[in-house]
Amino acid sequence: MKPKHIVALVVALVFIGVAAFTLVDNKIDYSDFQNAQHTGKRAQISGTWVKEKGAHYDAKANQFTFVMKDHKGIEMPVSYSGMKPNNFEMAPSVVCVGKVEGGTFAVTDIQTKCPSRYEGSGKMQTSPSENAAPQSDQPTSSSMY
Amino acid sequence: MIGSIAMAITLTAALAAVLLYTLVARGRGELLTAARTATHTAILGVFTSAGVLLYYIFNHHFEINYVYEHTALSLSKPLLFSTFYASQEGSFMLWAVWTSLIAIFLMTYAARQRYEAHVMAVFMSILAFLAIMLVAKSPFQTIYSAHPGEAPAGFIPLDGKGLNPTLQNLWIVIHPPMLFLGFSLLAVPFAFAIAGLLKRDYQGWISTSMPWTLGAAMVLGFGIMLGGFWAYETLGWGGYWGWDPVENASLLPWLITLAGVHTMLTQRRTGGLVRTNIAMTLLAYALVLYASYLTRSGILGDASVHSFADPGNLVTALLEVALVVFIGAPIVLFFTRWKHMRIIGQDYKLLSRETALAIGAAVLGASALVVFIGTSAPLVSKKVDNDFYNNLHIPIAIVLMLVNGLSLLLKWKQSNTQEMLKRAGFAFVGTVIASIAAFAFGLRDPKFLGMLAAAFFALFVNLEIGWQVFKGKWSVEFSREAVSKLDYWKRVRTGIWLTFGVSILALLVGTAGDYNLFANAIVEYGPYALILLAIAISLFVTLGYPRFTFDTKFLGAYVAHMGVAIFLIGVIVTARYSKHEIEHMYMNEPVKAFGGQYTLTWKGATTSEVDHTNFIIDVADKKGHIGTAAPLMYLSDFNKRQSPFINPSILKYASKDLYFTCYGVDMSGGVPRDTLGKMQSIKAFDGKEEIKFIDFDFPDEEKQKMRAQQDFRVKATVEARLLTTDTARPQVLTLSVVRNLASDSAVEADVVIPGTSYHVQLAQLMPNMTAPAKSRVVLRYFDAKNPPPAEREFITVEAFVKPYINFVWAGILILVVGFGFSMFRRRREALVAIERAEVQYARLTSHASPLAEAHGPVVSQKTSSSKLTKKQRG
Repeated sequence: MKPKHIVALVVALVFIGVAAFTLVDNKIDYSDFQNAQHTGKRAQISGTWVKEKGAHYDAKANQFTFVMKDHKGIEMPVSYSGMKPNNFEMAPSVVCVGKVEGGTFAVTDIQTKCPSRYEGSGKMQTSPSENAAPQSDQPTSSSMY
Repeated sequence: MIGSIAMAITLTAALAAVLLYTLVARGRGELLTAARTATHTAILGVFTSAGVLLYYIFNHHFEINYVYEHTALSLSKPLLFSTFYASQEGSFMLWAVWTSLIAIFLMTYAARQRYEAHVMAVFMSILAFLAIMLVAKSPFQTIYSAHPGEAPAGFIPLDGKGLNPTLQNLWIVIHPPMLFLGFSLLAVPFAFAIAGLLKRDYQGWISTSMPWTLGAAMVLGFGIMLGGFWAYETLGWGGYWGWDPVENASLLPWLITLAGVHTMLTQRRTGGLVRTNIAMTLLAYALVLYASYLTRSGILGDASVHSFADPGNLVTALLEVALVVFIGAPIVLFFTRWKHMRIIGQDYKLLSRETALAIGAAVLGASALVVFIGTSAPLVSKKVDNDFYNNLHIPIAIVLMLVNGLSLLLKWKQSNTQEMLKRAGFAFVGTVIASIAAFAFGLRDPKFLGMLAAAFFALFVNLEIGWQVFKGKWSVEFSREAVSKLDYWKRVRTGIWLTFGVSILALLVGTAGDYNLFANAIVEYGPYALILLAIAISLFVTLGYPRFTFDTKFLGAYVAHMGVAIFLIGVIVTARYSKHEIEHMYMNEPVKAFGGQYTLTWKGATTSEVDHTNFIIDVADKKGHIGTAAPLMYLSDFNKRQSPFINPSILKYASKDLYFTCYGVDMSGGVPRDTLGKMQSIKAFDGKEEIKFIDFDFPDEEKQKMRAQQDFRVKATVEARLLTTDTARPQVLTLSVVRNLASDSAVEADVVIPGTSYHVQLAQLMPNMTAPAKSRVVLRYFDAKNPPPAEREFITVEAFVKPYINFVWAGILILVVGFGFSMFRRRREALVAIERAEVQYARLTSHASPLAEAHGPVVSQKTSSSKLTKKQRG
């Protein structure tokens, strides 16, 4: 082995070492609320929005809050500094990345998993008018003034 | 029907072509015509089925499931065109179309290079794979076979579901086709590398495939940039790159190709690095397949905004088989040739261009490794923060920029240290001055300062040496020679190039690069350009014309390297100095943004006929009005109008962009209102009063009135408790509301809590007939002594200042142009080499040497004889 090869090898090993440390520092596990609360680390948790408990966007604070239920059935309020994501109401599941802090999941990233993101959803509508019908988010059977 | 049949023919013909070409490669030369016919049949099949799909899309054949799922009557022509590749089936089709188009040119090119049989056998196997995917998941499925039981046979919907609004953008018309062209082009060096392995030609394939490799790098780089540009112009988060796994997936083959281009240069020079280059080329294509596997198998479902939904087991299994075949077979071949490829190249000293190129390639490889790890993390249920990519790319960028400059200062084989330092003088001084200036302007972060200094070094080296190379290679002279017939055409041609060049440049500068403005300006000023053209041509023909000589042959590397440096400077400055703020704006009330640097005023809104609302914002700096932003917000049936889609508005200037995204319209002030369920309470009036909703009073007689469509009265019982005094017992209030059907309005009874100035009203009633316990009311309340402010609308806007973002785009465009120059140079060289070899071959065969035929011509290494080049160009 020539000296230049040894130098190259050392440099490569140092880089791989640094890369490994950076990876450990920045990796985010797929997790659930219990686990994320226990570790206190950033985690990616997927779950569903608890519709009955509502969702609220506070424009002044630019905070979007809602209650999410993870795959173990644990519910926790989620707060996100930003607007409500597109397709939020339609999404069958929500994927959030953040940290559990004092009983709240403070997230930096929300992704809505939408069946019609690129592919069409399996269900098909046979009448075109259904497409445009706005849905009320009121669970009650009638609403009136 | 025709589409599916054509695709089935393609599959059969492509497989036949693979088989026939394999036989030809094994010495059955008489089958060549049959192999070519099979290839052309397969290509024709792809074009036919693509044509049929386009026909279905443009003529709104909604009985075709693909057309129903992805298009709609309302889409414009360019957008209808883009639905062609909106989904998995269509994007495979696009890929097949590009692959077929390339196959036509590749066949003649490879035939001249005596590589046809081997290269085409590999290349057609790729087309066969694409055809299998298109047969397995056909875009021609009818709606009733795709949704059995839901739609009766023969059912034709009136309209389609439409295209995702974020994709309804003109950039989407060119971004995916560019990416897929890049992916398709990368199959060419892949095929040549395998052919080289099969033919045991470990040197010749490099020069022969070089123009294609450079073309692929050029197109893929451009396609990736367009993706970033689309994200920036459309998504509204102010960025252009988010290290999303799908973005990364297209980046990976590009990075490896860039590394490969550099190690190939070394091989051309020294004859070494044989295994490295074959491995790089195979790896680049393996990564293309890996990328399509990641994005199409549904495996990234949770991790990416781009990825397609799960396509089903069959498609995933086929993709996995393709991955194994197209990666596994080349690996086996590679290792069977391993010992045979032990070729030691000419040695070189440490201080040489070879070393710099090796370091550059290694660093690009390191970058690819980092991206690969991050992108693959979802496979093991993990994910990485963007800091992982960003932090690791700091040392990568610094080293890359240093060798970017150094490689051009160093000479092949061995460099003299003193000579190199002398040549580096200008760049060194320039870098020091620029870095001190950056420091003086407040850039203190060593990471950014280091990257910026390295980028400046690369920029200055390339500027200086590039200029020296270019200096003698261009000239402008005014010619008034006698006019010959041939000369007329030359004059006209000069007139055309000059007029259109100057016009487009003027429009680009005039519209500050705004795509939409530019497109409009072209339509508006187009006729004037024709007048200008007429004037130019008549002047040139009668008076004489300027003659330009512009030899870009050796410029490729300098231009491309300069582009990378400019790109990095743009990335660093925008990353470090971008600012953003959230503003709440009331109509006609100026808001000071960014510490008073800008004044923003919401002026109103305009709504287009398609129900898109633009919020008009006047933007002024300290000197006054500088522009009007109009961020867009709209509801779409695509998501059942549940939350708005947003589209930013960007004011572009040479040194910065001002970028505005509107997030929503809300109300502030007004009478507070709250929704209460039964026995729920709220604290109102600054916590002084507790209000609890007890029950409805909705007697049967009123219910009957409601059913009879008459006016009716509903009451709610509410308890109010004053919290400030201990003794106050709850006051029971009866609130009521009268629903007036004739005027379609509600009259609220206003109740004052006795002993206070507090008013409580029943604003809305939401009785739940099936579960009365879940009934709710909406209450309004206010203090008459302290009335709430009037209700007003306000918009929430995020404003960004993005300094020198144009450097990011310009850098990549310059890089792409550089690749173009290099591609044409290498193409010329490859053709000149083959021409020379053909001459040699003709001479040999005329001496009747039977051996010559079997071996084919030897492609020589050093080919850039200027005499031959000129001949080639003329």
